[in-house]
Amino acid sequence: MDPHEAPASHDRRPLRDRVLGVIAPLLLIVVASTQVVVASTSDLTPWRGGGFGMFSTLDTHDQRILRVTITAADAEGVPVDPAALLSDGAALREVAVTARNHPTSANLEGLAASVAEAELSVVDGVAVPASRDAAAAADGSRLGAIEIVRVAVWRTAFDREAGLLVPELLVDRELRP
Amino acid sequence: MTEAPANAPLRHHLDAFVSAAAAPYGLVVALTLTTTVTHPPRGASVLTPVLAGVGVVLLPRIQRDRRFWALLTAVTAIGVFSHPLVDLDNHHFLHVYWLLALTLAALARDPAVTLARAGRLLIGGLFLFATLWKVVSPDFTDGSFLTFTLSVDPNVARAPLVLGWQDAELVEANRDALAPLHLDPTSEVAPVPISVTPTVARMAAPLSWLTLVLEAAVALTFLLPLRGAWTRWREASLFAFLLVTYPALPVLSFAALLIAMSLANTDLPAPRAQVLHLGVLLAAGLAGQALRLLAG
Repeated sequence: MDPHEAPASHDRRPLRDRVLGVIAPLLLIVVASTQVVVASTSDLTPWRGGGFGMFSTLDTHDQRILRVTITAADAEGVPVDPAALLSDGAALREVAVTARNHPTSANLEGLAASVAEAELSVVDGVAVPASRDAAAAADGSRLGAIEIVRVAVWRTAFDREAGLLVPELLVDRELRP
Repeated sequence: MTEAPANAPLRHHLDAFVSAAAAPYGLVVALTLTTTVTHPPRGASVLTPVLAGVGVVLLPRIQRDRRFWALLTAVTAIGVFSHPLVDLDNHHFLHVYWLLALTLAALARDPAVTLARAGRLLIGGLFLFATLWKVVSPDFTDGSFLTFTLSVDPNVARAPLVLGWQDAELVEANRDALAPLHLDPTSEVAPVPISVTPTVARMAAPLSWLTLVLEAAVALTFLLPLRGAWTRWREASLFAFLLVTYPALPVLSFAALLIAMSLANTDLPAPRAQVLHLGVLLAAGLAGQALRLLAG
């Protein structure tokens, strides 16, 4: 029956139909409540995780700053190109986005492990995927075994009075993959 | 004796399609499937839009077919929830919930009434959480979030540009100032000056509260057990939200899902219900295009 033809049926429908009608909304409430708890007790950005916190705060995934620096046998403190981490299609994108949006120990370690496994070359002092710069790889600038991966994540706040976007450090960890 | 024309089966199918798509439930299904074809949720495999496309073609047969909806929901949910959850937008979650609601409605004795309940509670639930997040975020209620966003985000800045509140060069300069933070790994992570026009600075807080009131109104009207003419406030609040928000934030697939849910729930008589819902969706899309043309 169509509700537009018989609104009165709202009150007479069987219990089974009533239950079927609330399962999806209950799932929304469970996921969103979990997101609220996780975002309130950890560094998950409120924009992510299914809690409908988008456009509620400046602590958005896009305004978070992710910096990854690597130390290898033959190089120390080399920053990784953000495009190699976060751009669409980048091999490291999933782990990098996960670590930036929810920088838990496990997510940071996952990113560090993936960075350590990636084939990177150094171009102009910045680590980029070796496949992206064949010439650099041929010049012998490919990085050796990575010993330390340093991952730092900042969120940002806006100081209206001063007119400043202010980075606030969330985590800064040195990891040995 | 005359033979039936060769295209009779096709004509029959087209008649059945038009008849199904013109009915409220069929239009809800058609809107959902079309959105799934054009904007599948992030993480969904290619199977999702393909299945949804087949569903559009076979609309009269599949609109209440539990096997079709279960398959589409399962295929989509597996893809979406295999993707990192912290990389999904809200409407990607909502898309899966809505497909699940359509599956469960197909299992019900009265699919339309069951889907109406699901649509109402999904809209009410999502706007409740959206409102709560904004209420507990000081940078939203004091206008900081909108001040910054209106001064940096070229999509959100379009309406203020057209109204003369914003300066395109200022927005571009702010974006240039921020770029090294995100693109240059050798740059220092330090505060960045952001220029704000006096009008944006003045209007950001009132606009934030207008957004809050609109979203709270949608949550309340959809969650309260309203009866009779009071239910009109549901469409009124949702339409106001869509017409204010979506021209500036061009996530039209989210708007289409909300329209489908509202149409599933509405007590407005047909065909006024269908015309109003499609009209609002179209108006939001056209207003967005107009803003793009006017603001560049």
